[in-house]
Amino acid sequence: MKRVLISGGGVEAWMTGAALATAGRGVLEVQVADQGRRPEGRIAALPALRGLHARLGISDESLASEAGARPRLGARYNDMLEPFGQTGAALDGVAFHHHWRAAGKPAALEAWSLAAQAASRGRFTPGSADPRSPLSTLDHGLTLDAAAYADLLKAVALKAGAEIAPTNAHVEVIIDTAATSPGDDWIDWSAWLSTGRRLADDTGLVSTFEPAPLSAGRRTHAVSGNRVAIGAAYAAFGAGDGGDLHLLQGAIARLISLFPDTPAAAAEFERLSAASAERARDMAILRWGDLSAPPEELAWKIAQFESRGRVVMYDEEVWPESAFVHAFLARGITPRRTDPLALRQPPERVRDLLERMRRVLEQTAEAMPRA
Amino acid sequence: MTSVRKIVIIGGGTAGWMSAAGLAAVLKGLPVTIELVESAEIGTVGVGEATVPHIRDYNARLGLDEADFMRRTQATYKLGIEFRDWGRRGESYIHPFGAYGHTIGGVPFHQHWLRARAHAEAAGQSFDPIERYSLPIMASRAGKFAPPASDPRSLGSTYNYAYQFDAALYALYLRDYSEARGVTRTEGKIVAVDQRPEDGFVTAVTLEDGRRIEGELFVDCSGFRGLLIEQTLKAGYDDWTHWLPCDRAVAVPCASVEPPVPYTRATSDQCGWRWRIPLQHRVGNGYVYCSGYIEDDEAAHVLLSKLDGQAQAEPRVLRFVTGRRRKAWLKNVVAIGLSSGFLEPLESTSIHLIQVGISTLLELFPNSGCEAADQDEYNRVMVLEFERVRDFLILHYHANQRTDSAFWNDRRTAPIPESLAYKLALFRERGAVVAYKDGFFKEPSWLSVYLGQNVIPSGLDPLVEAVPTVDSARVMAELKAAVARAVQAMPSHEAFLRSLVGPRVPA
Repeated sequence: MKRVLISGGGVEAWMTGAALATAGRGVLEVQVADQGRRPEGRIAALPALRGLHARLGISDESLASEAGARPRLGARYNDMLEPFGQTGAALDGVAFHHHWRAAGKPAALEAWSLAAQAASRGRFTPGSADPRSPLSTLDHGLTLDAAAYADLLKAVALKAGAEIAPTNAHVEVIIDTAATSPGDDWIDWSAWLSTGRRLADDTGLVSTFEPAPLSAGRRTHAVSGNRVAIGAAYAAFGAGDGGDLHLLQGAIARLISLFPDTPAAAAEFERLSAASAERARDMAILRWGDLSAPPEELAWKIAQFESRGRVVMYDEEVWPESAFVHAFLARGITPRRTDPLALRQPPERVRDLLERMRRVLEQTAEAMPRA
Repeated sequence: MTSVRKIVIIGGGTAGWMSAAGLAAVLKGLPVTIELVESAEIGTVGVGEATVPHIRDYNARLGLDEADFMRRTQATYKLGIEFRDWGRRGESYIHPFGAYGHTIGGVPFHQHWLRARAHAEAAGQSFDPIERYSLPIMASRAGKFAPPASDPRSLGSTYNYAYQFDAALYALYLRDYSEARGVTRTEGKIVAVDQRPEDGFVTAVTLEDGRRIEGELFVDCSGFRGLLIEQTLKAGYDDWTHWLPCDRAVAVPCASVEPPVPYTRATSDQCGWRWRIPLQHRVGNGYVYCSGYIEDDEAAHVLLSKLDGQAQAEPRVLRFVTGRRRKAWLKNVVAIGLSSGFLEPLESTSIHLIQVGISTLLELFPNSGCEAADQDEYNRVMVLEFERVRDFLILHYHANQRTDSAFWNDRRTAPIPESLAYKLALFRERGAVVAYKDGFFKEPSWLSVYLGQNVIPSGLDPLVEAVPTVDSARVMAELKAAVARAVQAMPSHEAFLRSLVGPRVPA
């Protein structure tokens, strides 16, 4: 048995504790030092978090009744809606947004998003796994009562064998989850991200965000000695839109697949932590940061989208391609050229096809129950 | 900026006709014409007759009928590659097109197998090799084949397949396909290349008989020499022979003496390795070697002495320099095939790299200006593909345990790229495979070579101990039995092949 101490508090510490205690039963002795202040207010989560809930055996019902979970279908940035799930469908192997442009943008892009259609009607139902159903293009995130959600995760963690750490516990590995502040070992991102975002309004199906103070950057090392920094303890890019929690979730998965207690595993953990934090940082910059001199990888992405609407996806991306398309457009970054492969069909035919797709989505949205 | 109206493909080998067919199929509906220039005087290099499963996507995009394609190209099915004598002499492993088992308790299957192996060794007991848990490997060993099942829950869906075919016949088949879709074929030897003075874009090529062929986009499939990309545009070449020093191959087809097996074989030899590719009508053979260690005549002699059946031609020697073109797309010239770089066919990647070149060109299909952004992105993608295949090939050489020849001793002790040393260190420490998105070879491929060549990690994933030994032993036993049953139920490769393509006809 390896004794692991999780330091921090609230959602971050208990989510880590619950996942590690569940996956490491009989191998890891998980202790949580819940030092933080009790969390307040509500937080936003992305669709992918539901996968973690499934692995931890947390049902939608208990999330709703115990943690005040409410579904959300998208987020608003810069007055533009960014819906979850798929927007449109690729035609003939060419991404949807190319056809949408070739057809002369007959309506706003989100007209081809079932999440957007449902949200504008105040309707909701969970998506479907059946690829033939239009509902398979739908995905939803959550907003949660932070304190109640932390309690729920704590109950799961304790049930899986995690313990509340005694003072002066002797441990072999310490996992930091508490938000960090810039120190000597700090890579500063504040030139690109002067503020972060926090949840402003989640009363409807689309959440909105407001600026929040931020010292953006990441630590130079995720692993130093027997201390491992994950989530907010490792990187700060102010993504209260669910991005912070999403990156933490990725780090927890990485702890499970690559527990960094040996040198090569620690090196790989470092490499993956840095890459995914930087990809998440790039999306934060794209959504609310300063684009005058973006980091190299983001500059390449922007240049490719501006040139021909290509979405470059690197290793360790944390956001899907369609999220990038919406984010580019929301920042006014539009392609100079139409992809020639989207011009193989006459525009009127593409317009007809798009019109039919849109009607199917509208009808599907109309048929959903009121949220 | 205007759209591309005319594409000229230089060279009519496998790369040329695959490019012509791929472009003709996908660009249908656009006002663009395609002309392919080839010279009967300049022989084509058969870039290896074995493929990887992506070839099925390419064929599907063209809408080819599998039975027709297999009949026309003398194709057989391929479930993987057998590597003989790459670890210790006398050993054999198969690199399959499919995963080994499935996760147990969220922990990768091979971790459970490594634990069981360690326990058995400590107790002085025997243990099952990991191939027992792989359906495509066990089917290969039994000479059987059936297409994968479509139900993702079925064991029969856990593998994929490729083909072994006559690349010259495949090129002819695609030539028919292309010509039927409007591609013009022009025969002639290129004697001059015209460039636009202001920016060096290629504007036309001139043939020996004086004909001038103009184009806006040129696809250079002229082979090693890179007629446009190198001889005209001087794109440069990164030489990788310090890592992969084999620089020649001698090839010869021979008669079959047994029904074709559903896998390619790569056997290590004193100064390189030999391929064996069973087709319907014959067996393709070759010896890839390093000229610093063996003379051409001797290599040909070794190859001929180890054939299954009667040689059907004179052995042919090919020369190459392993590496990649610094810019595979430069100005309005895109190099596809050997003109874009060369990696020995140890893992059947030549045709795959052609295909990645074609599909990436289509994803970035330019207008007549060939914007720098398109070139840059194409080159970024191709560098990743080439480098990741390169590291995987070097692993085979580096992890050899042959001590009977200078060549193999040198390969084992030669420096390796840092990117490979990093991957090896992680595997040696705890059996974890470095993951990436772009690049063909993923976890099961790396595992097969590591384990097949006795790179056994000193530690394990610590979380494997969260699954009780008895639980993983039970799941492993069930899986092994299920694989054996599934193989039992499969038809022989020969029988399945004949049911699809019809009775054997003399070549």
